[in-house]
Amino acid sequence: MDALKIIEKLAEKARKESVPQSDVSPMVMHEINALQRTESGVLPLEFFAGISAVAASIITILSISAWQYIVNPLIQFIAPLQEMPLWK
Amino acid sequence: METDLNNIRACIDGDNEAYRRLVQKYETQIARLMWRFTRDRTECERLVQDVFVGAYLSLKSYRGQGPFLHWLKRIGTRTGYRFWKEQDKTRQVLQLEDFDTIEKSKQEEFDSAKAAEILHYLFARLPRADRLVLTLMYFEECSSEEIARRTGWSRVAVKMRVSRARKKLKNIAEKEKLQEKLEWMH
Repeated sequence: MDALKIIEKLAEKARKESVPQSDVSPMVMHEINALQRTESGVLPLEFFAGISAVAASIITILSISAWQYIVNPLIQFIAPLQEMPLWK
Repeated sequence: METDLNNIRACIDGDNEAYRRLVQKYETQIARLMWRFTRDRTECERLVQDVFVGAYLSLKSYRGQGPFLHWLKRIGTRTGYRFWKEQDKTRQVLQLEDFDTIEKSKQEEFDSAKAAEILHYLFARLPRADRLVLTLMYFEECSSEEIARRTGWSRVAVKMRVSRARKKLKNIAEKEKLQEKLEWMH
C-alpha cells in the first residue's frame, strides 16, 4: 500500500479523536476586561498630554515677542571696541 | 447566524456578556482546530484564548458575510501558524517516543489519538507552510479553496504547496518505514 494511502487512513481515524475540553470563557473575559481597563487607563494620560501641549503653545506664543529683545551677550565685548578710537 | 449577529452587535455596543455567549458557543470547535497545532493541553487552551481575544479586538472588522465560525477559524489558523513560528524560533522538536513501537500495536489498541499523534509527528518534520496545508487538508478536510481562504494565500499557491508537501510527506513516511509498521492497516 502506498505511504500516502496509509496517511489518509490515519487521518480518517485521527479526525475522530476526542479533543480535551475546557471552558475558556472565564479566562477570555478576564483578559478582555483587563484590556479594557488598560485602555481606560490611557485616557488620563492623553488628557494630561493635551493640557501640556496647550500650556507649551501658550508659552511659545508669549516668548516670540520676548525673543525680539534678546541680544547676543557676546556683542557687549565687540561693540565698545568698534567705537573706541585706536589712537588720539 | 442572526443570533450571532445580534450578539456581535451587542458586544460592539459594550455588552461583554454577549461575547461570553459567543465564546461558549464556539469554544469546542476552536479547541478542536487548535488541537491540530499543539497536542499540549495547556498550550491548546492558551491558543483558544488567544483566538477569542484576537477576535474580540477585531470584531468590528467582521462584516457578517459568512458564518462567524468561519471567521473564527481563519483567526485560529493564523494564530496556530504564528505559534509554530514561535516554536521554530525556540527549536522545539516534537518527539514521538514510542514511534518505533507502533508496529507492535494491534488494530484494537490503535486508537484515534494514536493516529493523530503519528500524523502530528510526521507533519512536524515538514516546513511550517507545508505542515499547515497538510494539517488543514488531512485533519480539517479543507479543500484548496478553503485553505486559501483561511491562510490568505492564492489558490494556485496552495495547490502547488499541497502537491509538494505530499511528496515530502511520502518521503518522510517511507524513511520512517510507516508501511511496514502499519502493515495491518492494509
